[in-house]
Amino acid sequence: MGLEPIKPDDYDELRDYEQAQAGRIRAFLAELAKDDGLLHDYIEDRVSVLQRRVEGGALFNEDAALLLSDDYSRVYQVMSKGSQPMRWLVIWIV
Amino acid sequence: MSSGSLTVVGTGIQLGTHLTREAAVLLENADVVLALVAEPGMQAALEELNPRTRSLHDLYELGESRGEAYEAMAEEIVRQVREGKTVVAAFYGHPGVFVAPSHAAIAKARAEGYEATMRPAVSAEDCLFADLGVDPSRFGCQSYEATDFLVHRRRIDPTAALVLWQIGTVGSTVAAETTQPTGLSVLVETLLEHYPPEHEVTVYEASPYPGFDPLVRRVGLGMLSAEHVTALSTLYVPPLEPAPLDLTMLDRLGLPRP
Repeated sequence: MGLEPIKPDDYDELRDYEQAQAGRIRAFLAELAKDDGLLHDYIEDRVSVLQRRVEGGALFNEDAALLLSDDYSRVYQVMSKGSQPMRWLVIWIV
Repeated sequence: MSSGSLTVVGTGIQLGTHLTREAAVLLENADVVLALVAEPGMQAALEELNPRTRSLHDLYELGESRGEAYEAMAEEIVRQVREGKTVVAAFYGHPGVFVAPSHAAIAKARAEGYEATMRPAVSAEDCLFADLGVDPSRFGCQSYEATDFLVHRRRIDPTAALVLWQIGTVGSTVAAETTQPTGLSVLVETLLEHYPPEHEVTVYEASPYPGFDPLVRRVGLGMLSAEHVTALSTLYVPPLEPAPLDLTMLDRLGLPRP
């Protein structure tokens, strides 16, 4: 835990890496949204839940580190790069 | 009533924790779910709840006028209702707050004789009150979309709190993937007509993920610039001074003077 993600230098490799990471985190977050017991455990003790996921192979160390970082915007960046682009929702005002 | 119905729900802001049980049941049992959410994990979660979930983002072309995009979304939602389906449209946050196509779709469906309702959800403003410890009843609270605030010259009461939404896209009228606060300097200049430059304001973003704190950046109003802002930022301006008591009104109401 507390590890910094190791990123490759090659652009294509980097894109594949980010998409794969986004996929793993997306699957975990979707499960978190659906499973009340898992959500409860996660709220109580994020480290233990993530540790079990890493040990089970569903998440990598760098995924857990990202989910334990101080700033959620890094998670958002990874998720956005590895997914369909989101357009900002802005009301039409004039 | 014609067959086919529309229910509009909100996902709340935070993935997994804000979705109401009512919304979850409606989503699970819909013939089709049309979703417009601001976080990819949220889209995945909706697809887990109901595999017949489709994103409305495809109808939101970059650079296109938002008015056209919203009309296209409302039409797509109602098109599914016309086919006799039980349609649930899911929007990020509260579906009725700062979401034009949800209201448009409901009005359109009702005008065509279909049952159409909206369910409440957790909005970004609800998160702001909780995270910043602000009670809108204490000082009063003014709430405007940032560009709307500028172009309509909304009046400010500096004795009440002021919340300005979408400062990350202030001055922009097209769909975008990135922050475009082209009018931020104009917004700051306008606010400086009412508040001193050292008045501390808060740039706020609710966390979309459980376990993370919100993003809270405090800065003097005169120093507020694009570096403090992201596409999802909201500006909270606290009251500058207490509102004066109207003693005559206290007397008229029979309330004791302090």
